[in-house]
Amino acid sequence: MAAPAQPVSDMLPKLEQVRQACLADSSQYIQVVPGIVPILQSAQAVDVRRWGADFIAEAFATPALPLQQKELLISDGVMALLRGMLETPNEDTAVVKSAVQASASIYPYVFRRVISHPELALVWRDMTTIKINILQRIDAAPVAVRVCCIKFLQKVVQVQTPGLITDPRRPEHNETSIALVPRNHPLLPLANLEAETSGILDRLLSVIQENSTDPLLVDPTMNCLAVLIKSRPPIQAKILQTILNYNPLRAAGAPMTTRLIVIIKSLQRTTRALLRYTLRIIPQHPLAEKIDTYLRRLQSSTTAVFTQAQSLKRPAESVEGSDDAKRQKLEPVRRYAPMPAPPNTYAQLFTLIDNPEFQQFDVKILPEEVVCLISSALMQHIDSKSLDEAIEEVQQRFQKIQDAARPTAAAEEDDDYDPEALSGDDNTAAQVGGEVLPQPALELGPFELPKPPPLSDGELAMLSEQTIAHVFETALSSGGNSNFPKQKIGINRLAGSTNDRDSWLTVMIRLATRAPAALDSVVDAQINGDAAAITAQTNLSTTMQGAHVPNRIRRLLFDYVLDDWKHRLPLGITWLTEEWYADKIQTVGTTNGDAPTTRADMKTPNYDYWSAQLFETLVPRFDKDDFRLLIRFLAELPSLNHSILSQVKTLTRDPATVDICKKAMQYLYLMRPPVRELVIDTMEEIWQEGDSEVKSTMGQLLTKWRPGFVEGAAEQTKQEMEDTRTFPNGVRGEEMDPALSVEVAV
Amino acid sequence: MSVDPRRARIQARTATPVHQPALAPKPATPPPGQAAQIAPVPPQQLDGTTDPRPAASTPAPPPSATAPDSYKLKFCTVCASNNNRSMEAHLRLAASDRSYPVISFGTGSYVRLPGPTISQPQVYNFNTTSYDKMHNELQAQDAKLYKNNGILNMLDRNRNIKWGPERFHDWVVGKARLDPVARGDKGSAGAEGGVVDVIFTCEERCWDAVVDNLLDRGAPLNRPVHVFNVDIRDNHEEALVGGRAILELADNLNEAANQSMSIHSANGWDNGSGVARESFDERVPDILADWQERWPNLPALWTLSWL
Repeated sequence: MAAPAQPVSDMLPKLEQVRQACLADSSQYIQVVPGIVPILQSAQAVDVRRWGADFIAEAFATPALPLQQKELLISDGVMALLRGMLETPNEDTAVVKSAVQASASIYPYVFRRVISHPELALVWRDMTTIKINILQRIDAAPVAVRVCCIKFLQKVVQVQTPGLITDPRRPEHNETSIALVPRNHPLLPLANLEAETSGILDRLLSVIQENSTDPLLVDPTMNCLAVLIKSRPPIQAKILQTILNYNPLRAAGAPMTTRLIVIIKSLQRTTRALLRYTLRIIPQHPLAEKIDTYLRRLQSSTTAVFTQAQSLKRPAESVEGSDDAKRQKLEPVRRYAPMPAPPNTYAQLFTLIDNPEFQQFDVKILPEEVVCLISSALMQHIDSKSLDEAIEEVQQRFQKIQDAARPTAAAEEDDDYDPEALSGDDNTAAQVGGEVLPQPALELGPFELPKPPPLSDGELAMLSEQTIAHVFETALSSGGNSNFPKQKIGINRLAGSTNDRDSWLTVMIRLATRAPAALDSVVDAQINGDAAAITAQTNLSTTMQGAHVPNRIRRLLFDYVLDDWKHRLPLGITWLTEEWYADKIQTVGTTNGDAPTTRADMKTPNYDYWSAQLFETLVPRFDKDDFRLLIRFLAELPSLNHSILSQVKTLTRDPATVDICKKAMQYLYLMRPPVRELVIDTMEEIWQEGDSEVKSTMGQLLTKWRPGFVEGAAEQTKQEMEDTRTFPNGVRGEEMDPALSVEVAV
Repeated sequence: MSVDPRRARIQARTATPVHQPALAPKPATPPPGQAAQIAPVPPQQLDGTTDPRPAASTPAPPPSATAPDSYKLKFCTVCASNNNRSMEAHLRLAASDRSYPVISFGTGSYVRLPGPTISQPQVYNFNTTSYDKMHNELQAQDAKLYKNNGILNMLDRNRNIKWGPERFHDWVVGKARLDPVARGDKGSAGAEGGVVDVIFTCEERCWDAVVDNLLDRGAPLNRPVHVFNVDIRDNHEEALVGGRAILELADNLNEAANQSMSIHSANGWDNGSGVARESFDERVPDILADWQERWPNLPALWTLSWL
């Protein structure tokens, strides 16, 4: 080593002069390179070898030298020099690195030259040897060299994948690629090259495919793929698919060190940069939408990763201009639920939990022995520290209440010390009556809001409408999927205590039925026995449905029941029952204990009206399968009257529902003796109004219940029909429907 | 303007070469006098937490075993207009005791300098306008205004560094840069090959633009380049702090490169051990992480790209 050491110190400046000359005039390379190669081949000193490798890399990379001239630089000597650098055992890393760079630069020129000069077998052999050498290196070499090997692979793939032929007539203007190779080239068999390219591309992408987290391999790979994506459409999709399967945040699972943050950021931003570039240059690519999605997802997951990481790294972000932000004020951790705003009860003072169910638990329902057992067991195992903390919390709360309760005399203008004021004699501080704690004294005078202007009738109507609708909405939106409780609690049930839909509806019903609004006059009229007045008032309360709150609620209930009458019939029954009860109570209550002598005296205006309404609307909807519903309806109503039954009667107009009408009547006759007479009267009407089929159906029952009626009626009818025949209008009796004939008679 | 930050900065800068020789073994440690000279800068404009820390906690790189003219990394600094941040860093790197080869660029479409109002910037073309021309023009327009906002001082500094602002996208990588050497531009010596090993950008936007542009170039030179971003706010004070941070990072990187160059030579392999045997590229993430811990307020970003 000592011998060449002397020349090195002389050599390097001379070589540097040569390089400067080449930089100044790139055509110098043509003369310099062939002359300098033998010197470099024989050079021993590492500095000279490094310089040589750098120089060769620079010569083939410089953009100053035109392509054709670079092809002329290729010689057996240059190839041998590169081979020598790569094949020398224990060669200096920097030399190898530059040699690989030079190889990557020289590859396209060699390829191009060999295409046009198939006789250059030696050059191509050297190039192939270099290629194999580099491929073998890629796994074992130091990172610095591996990085350059990646670039070499990319260059090989780029050259050996078909590129764009811009002008077939002028090959010198086309980019170097396999597309320029003629089919029968002796040195460059297309099939082999294609297979090799595919393998090398896989090798190149393997770093990304394996989801490596080494930025020294991933970053250079990503950054060199751009040119392939841009200029090599046949492999675009494969490359993009590989990148889309890559997760640059994979390393984020480990504890975040600054090094890891630097690496993750690097991987993420490099991937993002490449994909964004791709989107920009080939926005119409089929994978563009996927890339877009990938980028958006990457952005959000990166934010998630780094908000955590940042908070670990820099808890207090210094804000420009506010130096106070250095120490962040932290909220003390609150162990106990805060006490509600005053006024407070003693129970609230001692309540340290915030679970509402526990808060409402009444200890008194436990037997005393059990409480003793639990308490003694608890006291043994209690953590004295937490007990102290709890006691301290209660003390603090109490102190706070006491402080607040103290009269704020100091705040007033006079600062005279008045012991009387603190003695608790004044009424503001001494409201300890009952369970209420002393409250803070507020020295504010009574404040009265000005009276609102009286509402007009229209406003009143609108507001009450809104209020009712709101309550009804509340009722319907609250829980409970049944309209009435499936599980009967029996007599213990409280109508409105469960806060579900049923209890809300109960509240609505009672509001409608028991609110005394607009009923006084009706009741007064009843007491006075003025039937005409009753009718007038009832008509008033029913016809003016918009005017009274109860009637509005009734209208809503009515509509609600009709909406789904098969399921809501029980609600309708409940409602009508309440109506009946309220009507009765009203009558009894206002007669001051002078109970009406007979049941009939107790008029039920609302019940009558709404039950008739409901029947009138519902009866046409019954069909032959609704037998049970009809029976139930009739059975459970508190009172039946003629108008209801006359509605039931209309069922016989449809032959399909004649049967259920008959069954209903049978049921009522058997099970509700008080209305038996009414039922029979209705049956009579049915028989008289019905056609022959109805007559025969009902006739059997009527003969049983009111013997002799049918026969008498039949005879009477016959008599009348004969009378009719004598009528001068020429209507012939044989052609007349019996039912019609009755009508005519009437 | 008794507390003109520019004045403090200029003093600090001119002081650098004077103090440095005395502190030659610790190039990354700011000279003690420097902090005192920066002090007049209004405190709210400086990132207070970062200032004292490097002096206290920067591990001084071990005294370099190599001679001053040993292997040097070639640097490139990039900001938006190639005027404030990149030029401050350019100067720092070129004027350091190692006299790194430096070139600098802007990524904007035009050189934009603050004008009389925020909506009337002074706009110049890249590559064809010299700092000297800008300086003289602005001085003729409104000397008081541009002196007070520090623009004239900045341009004066810049015209003593190199000829004019250059656009990154117009940089022909690998094309010889002999004119700057002939002109004696600072940092041009060693960068005549037109290639660099490390690019520092001063803003994420610029980093994105640089990385994207490198992708678009298609890496014709097959030469790896480390692209770092050091986020620096665009004002004189931050540029000053950022310049120092970039110099420190550059020193650390260069140190690692030198170590790997010396131990990988034929007779140097046995000299190093452990971490030192790793190549320079391999150590970049660690160097950046160490540096980031010392400069937590300058969020850094890095990738390994191609020229």
